Amino acid sequence: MNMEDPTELTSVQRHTVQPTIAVIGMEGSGKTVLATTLAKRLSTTDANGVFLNPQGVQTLQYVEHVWNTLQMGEWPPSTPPGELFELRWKLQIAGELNSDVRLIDVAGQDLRQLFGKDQIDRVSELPQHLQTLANYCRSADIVLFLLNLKDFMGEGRADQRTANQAALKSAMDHLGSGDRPIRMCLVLTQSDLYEELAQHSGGWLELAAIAVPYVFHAHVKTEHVAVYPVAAVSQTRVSWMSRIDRCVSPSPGSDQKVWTIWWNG
Amino acid sequence: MSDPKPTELALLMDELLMLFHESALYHNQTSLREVLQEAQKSVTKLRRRVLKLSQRYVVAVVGLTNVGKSTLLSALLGAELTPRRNGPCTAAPIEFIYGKQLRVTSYHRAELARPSRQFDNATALHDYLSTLSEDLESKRSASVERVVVEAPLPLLAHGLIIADTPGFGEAQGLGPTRSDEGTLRDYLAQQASQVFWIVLAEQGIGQRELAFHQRYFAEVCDDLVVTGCDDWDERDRDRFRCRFTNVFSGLTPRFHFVSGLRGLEARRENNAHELEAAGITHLEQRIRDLHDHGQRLVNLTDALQRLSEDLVFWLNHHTVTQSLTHEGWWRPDSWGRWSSSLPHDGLKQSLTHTLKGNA
Repeated sequence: MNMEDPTELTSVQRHTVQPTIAVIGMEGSGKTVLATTLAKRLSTTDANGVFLNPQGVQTLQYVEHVWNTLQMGEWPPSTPPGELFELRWKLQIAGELNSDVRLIDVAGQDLRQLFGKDQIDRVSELPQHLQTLANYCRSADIVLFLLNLKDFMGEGRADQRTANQAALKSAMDHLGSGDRPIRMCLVLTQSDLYEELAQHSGGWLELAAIAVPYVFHAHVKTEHVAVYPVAAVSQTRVSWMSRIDRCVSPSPGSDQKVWTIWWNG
Repeated sequence: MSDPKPTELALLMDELLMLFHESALYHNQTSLREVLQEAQKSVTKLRRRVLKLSQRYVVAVVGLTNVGKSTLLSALLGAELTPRRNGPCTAAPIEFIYGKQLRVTSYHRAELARPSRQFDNATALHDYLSTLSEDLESKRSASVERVVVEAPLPLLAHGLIIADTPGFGEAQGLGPTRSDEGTLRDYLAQQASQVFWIVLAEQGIGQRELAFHQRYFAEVCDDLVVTGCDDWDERDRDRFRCRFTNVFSGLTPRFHFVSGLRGLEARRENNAHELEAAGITHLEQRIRDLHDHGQRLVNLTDALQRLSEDLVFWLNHHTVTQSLTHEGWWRPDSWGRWSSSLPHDGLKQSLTHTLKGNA
């Protein structure tokens, strides 16, 4: 572990803290791909004694299914609105930590509906799946907000950019103001595409300040919310769906490049 | 600058396509969006040719009925083998390839057998081809996908294949029109590396021809051959160029003014001067140049570089009023992808330099 990292757990905390981690993000932000890549990477105990132990058949099958899809050079399909899918692991660090990691795969549209329209204050009036999503976020100790910068810097429509940021800020405002402290992190996915831009901007924090200024000044700067760049898939290639249509697909390979994620206790 | 291999060039073009495609979606301004889409089309066209670098090289000669295709082909090949397809005939293209003997082989759809016949002289072969292409009643004839003619012709000696296709009028005017048109369309899409489009001087380029061009072979056509202009001087040719240059969306083909009849006479008399005056020598050289594999690769990389320069020239001049610098032309993550996706050497480095605004 990086001894300089201010977010690192003390040895006492390692034995006492059992944080529940929630991972949320808009559609296409890379929740499924990141979780699957991490789950596969840590599916056997690594050199630091870290093991991500799938809880239940569903999680294991889901990870294997998504992994096989990636290996075939395709992205896993987006989660349809209204569907909520929970995956559970135990994050085990040899003899020191045994923590729940929960990932709720929801459609980004649902997240926008919950947080982007200030509906979070009227949870009991919302459809069941949105209530579950709200409870899921509130019950977590750590929430990782996954952001694909294409939804902000790569979005040409100003209205859509604003809507995306408003939903994100609203979610962070809400979760940060509850009775129970919730640690929050911003995880910038597909960071390999933004490395040059981050360098040019002076670093990842500076890039976040440009991409999501409201979020940055309200949370990252003042509450010391950590920002982590992550690239879960090391290589992609351009696929031709037809004579004229094309898209970027994951290119199978074993060299998956993932940054380690740290958290505060 | 070291030349990339075809596979590397294809990957580079794919990444460039993504950059143009995503940046076009990113911008709201119509003219900027359109120019990026236009650039996309041009890269798509070049990309298609990269795929064909490793395939056999087929020059397809296409045009309406009675524009002088057969005569021109005879003048080019130096042998009168091509049948005149002025009336209804099969839609099967006839490919001319090099062979030590005169031989005709028919390839049928969904049939293993490839009937083949050998001939002693060009006249017999020509007559056989005429019969074959006009034999509309026979079911067997209708199933012909292509006919291959082997002949000891110098132009074809290094693997070049020249394909004579039925006129659009014939292909479109026959019984089950769609399947005939489909045969020609499939052939052009799958087999043709390059299309030479023949038009008659007095007819010019009609709407129907232009539609056919856009639909079926615009991506592989760089050359327009104008026949029947024996008495034209340079001013007449310029007038023709001016009149029809603007009808093309995208790149305008090169115009070649030739006289097939005069060329054929020159071939018969073995008169090199007349052959040149008829424009046949020039056309022959153009086909040879296009056939050269190394040269084709160079042409493609040059075309890609030129396209980038043209695009950047446009962007430099038309986005200045919006205070849009080169960093604003490209969608940020698309540029990031372009920058990081492939090694920065040779062509990639040069294109990156250009796309950063250094036209």
